[in-house]
Amino acid sequence: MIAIAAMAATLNVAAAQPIQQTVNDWQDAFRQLEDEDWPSPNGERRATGAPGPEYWQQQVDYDIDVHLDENSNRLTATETVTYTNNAPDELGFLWFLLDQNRFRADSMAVMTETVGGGGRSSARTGAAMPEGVSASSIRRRQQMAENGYGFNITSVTDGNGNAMDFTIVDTLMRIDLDEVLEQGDSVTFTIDFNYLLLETGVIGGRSGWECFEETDATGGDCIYQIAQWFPRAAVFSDYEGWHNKVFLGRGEFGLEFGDYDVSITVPQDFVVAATGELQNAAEVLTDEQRDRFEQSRTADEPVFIVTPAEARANERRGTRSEATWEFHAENVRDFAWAGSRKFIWDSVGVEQDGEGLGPDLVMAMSFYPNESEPLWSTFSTRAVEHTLDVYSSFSFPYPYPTAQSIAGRQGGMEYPMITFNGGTYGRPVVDDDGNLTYSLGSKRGLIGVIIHEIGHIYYPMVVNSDERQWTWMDEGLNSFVQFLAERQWEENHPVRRGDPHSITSYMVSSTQMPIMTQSDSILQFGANAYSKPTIALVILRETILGRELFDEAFRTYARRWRFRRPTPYDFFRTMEEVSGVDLDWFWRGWFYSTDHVDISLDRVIEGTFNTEDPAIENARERAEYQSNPESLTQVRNREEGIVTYAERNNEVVDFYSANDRFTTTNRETEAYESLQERLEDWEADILSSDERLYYLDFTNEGGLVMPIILEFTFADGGSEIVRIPAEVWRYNPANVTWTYLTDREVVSVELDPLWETADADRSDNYFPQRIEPTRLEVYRSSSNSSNMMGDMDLRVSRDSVETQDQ
Amino acid sequence: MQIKFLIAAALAGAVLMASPAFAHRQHTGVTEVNINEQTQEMEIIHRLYWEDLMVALDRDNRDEAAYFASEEGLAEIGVYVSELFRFADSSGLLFETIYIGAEMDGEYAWVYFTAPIPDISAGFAVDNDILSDHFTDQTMMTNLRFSGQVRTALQGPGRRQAIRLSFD
Repeated sequence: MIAIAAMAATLNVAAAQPIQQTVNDWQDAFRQLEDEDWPSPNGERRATGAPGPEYWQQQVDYDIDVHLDENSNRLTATETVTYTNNAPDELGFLWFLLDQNRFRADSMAVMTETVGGGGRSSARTGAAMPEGVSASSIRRRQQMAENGYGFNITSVTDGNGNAMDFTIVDTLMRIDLDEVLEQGDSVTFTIDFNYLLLETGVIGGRSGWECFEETDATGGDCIYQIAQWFPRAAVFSDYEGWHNKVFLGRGEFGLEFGDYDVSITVPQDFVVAATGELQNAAEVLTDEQRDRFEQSRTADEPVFIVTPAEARANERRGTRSEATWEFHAENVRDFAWAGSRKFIWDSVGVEQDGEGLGPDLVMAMSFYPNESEPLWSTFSTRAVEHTLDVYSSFSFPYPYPTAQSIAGRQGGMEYPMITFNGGTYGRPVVDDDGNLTYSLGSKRGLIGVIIHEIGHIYYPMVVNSDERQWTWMDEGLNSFVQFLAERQWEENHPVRRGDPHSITSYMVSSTQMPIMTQSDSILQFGANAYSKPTIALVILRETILGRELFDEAFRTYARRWRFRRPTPYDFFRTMEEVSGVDLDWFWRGWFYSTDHVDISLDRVIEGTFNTEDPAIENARERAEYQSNPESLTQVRNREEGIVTYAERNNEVVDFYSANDRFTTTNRETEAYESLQERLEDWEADILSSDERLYYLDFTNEGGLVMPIILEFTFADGGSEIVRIPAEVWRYNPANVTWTYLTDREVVSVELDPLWETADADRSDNYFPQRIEPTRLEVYRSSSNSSNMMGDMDLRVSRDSVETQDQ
Repeated sequence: MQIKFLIAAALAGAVLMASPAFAHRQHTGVTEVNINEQTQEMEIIHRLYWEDLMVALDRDNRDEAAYFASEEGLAEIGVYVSELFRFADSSGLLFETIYIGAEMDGEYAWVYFTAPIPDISAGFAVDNDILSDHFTDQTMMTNLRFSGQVRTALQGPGRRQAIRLSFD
């Protein structure tokens, strides 16, 4: 046993270093990933990156009646599930996700909140004595211990009303079927459950409630954001079977597609937004509201369905009666909703070419309280509209009838057709004099989070990647398209991620992890799963492939895996197959390694062709010799007036005194004439040309092979950018010498002049060497002025972003 | 003064507040320490999200741009950051830093300090608690660059104690 274990350990080490050789230190940076790191193609998933002819996935449909008790903050629901088994496997049981169980005091997530990891930890330990603890973290623990969060599953019954056996394993529940479910068969059963909603600001998580203090400026009352709120079928896939990874709070979720009918019973004066389309508008909306909604379908700008004044009046009214809002959604992988009597509601119809893949009209809508005005009515629904436009151009027509943005405590979270975009985003401030203003940061933050979360409806709500395993597949790809959308929102719109130089600090750090790391194990989640993949794709698009090849491949991936479940390898393979470019070196460097980009330009040597003509070459050599400093002793002798012996005795002056070693001799001239007779014409042309050959030496300091991009500046004032593909490193990924032929004299060379490769150290990117000012030096030399609204003595009102004098 | 004493002293009076970790909003920051051969000084540059910094300074109801442009705001930022970033040699002797200033750039706040170049750069101790007094999930990454090498101190939830870094 010991010997076997030792061998396995050795083999594992070797397998972890597939590009490292055993007989020398040469590394094959271009070794292929196929069939080594990537799984073998099969009937479900092809080597092209496309779904195979035997691809399948499960179908799970839900019919749910849910009731919100506002006084106790408790949800109670009955959920009828119809599970269709499309797998070539017999199923004797089904697994469901119970995400709310994450907040049970005895859950794996809570019990493992300790030292050293990347998750939430309330205690500062690790030294000889604990360092301290925050009051709010104690409050959070107390609430979790005392309040009894998590699902209460009160019954699971089959179609005849008979009880079914079920077993709860932390955040998972196994339901044992009465009969084995064969391929193509369906089973229907009902789950009754309830649970206590969280106060989002105290417990965290992705849903819950937020209440406002009633003041002159705010109207009190609460906003409910409800998500991950019902037992949802776990994924059963072709490559993993049941996905049994427990929910620890970070790796979000993977789910199956299905159709939903959900009836939501809330206080009568609530306004409800949800995944899907409202089915009973006549019962829950006034005639006027329904007329406004119809107008908004063809309006050029958002139309209020519930006006700010109506929302303000609504939140102060209160009622004991209830209303039921009914929603229907098709082909979605989840269902979320929000409700409040504080909600303003605006809407506008967004036209698109559905191509038969989606509707030709999508209703972009926003729900928000008066406290978020005037930012939300100005920017939210328009940001939704812009997101649909840009994202669809990079993927497929938006496939659903609605796209909604909800303001609340949750700072940013996505579900099909509905997103939560709140926290501190987009709430104006009132200064001590009562002036209402908002900052560039508030505006940027609001637009950015809405683009990001609406973008998630494409990735992963439609391109259904496994968030629990590979966060980068949805956060990274989505942040990449978010970057493209933000860059198209407004010139110089400040963006959080996307420009390559912003990732260099992370990539040089000695604590970096590969992007291909399981979600719950990642330290520095934002840099690893959001920023680095975003920047990798920006570089792939702008520098490696170019926009035409990249965009076609990226769009093909989205369309191939629309309403299907891709793995990382399906993405990698599709990008290569469609672009026609081998990218294994790129995936290895950016996604599988902790190498960083740092190429140094070590040396530049200029060479000119030897014409072999002694009249030319001897004169050139003489000129070079004479350009060297004269002997210092000879200079000093002359200055002192010392006269040489030969000057004083002319009889010693001879032939050699008048002819130096550069004098052209008759034999040299004859040899040249003989050479000319033997040369082919093309050889003679080269010898007589005035072209120069430059030798450039590079060192790969960071380890990650990348294209070498050079800007040559010439003595005539012109310049040229030359792009050398990454394959220049194939013989030696550490050092390379490359030559450049030109008929112009080069006076300087800059490596990566457009800052497009994330080169971490630019101090060695210049010939001749140049010292760039540091960020601190630039700060010292610049003025630090503000041009913001408050500094301009301007203000806005709740009704408009038009500025007025304070 | 030894760094351990300062850590204990700072925590003794701390009133810690927590904010929930949003699904898509990370509380992170980066500190870069470099030697500038031109100016013959050590540069210490912190990159934070200005929105988080405003919360930590209890100024989140202020116009942040005006705050960063004011003498009062710049002074408060300098005091706050200098108290929570402690950087010492291998014996625990703190480097005396000089606050240069701060600025906003997009979503970032950049905060600048300098210090004399250390005589010996073989070992250091870093304790970077910036913003962790307000966000329990705050992660600060400190990169030290000396002689072409990078050593990283990563501090975050459950790993707040000072970290020793060696360039041997």
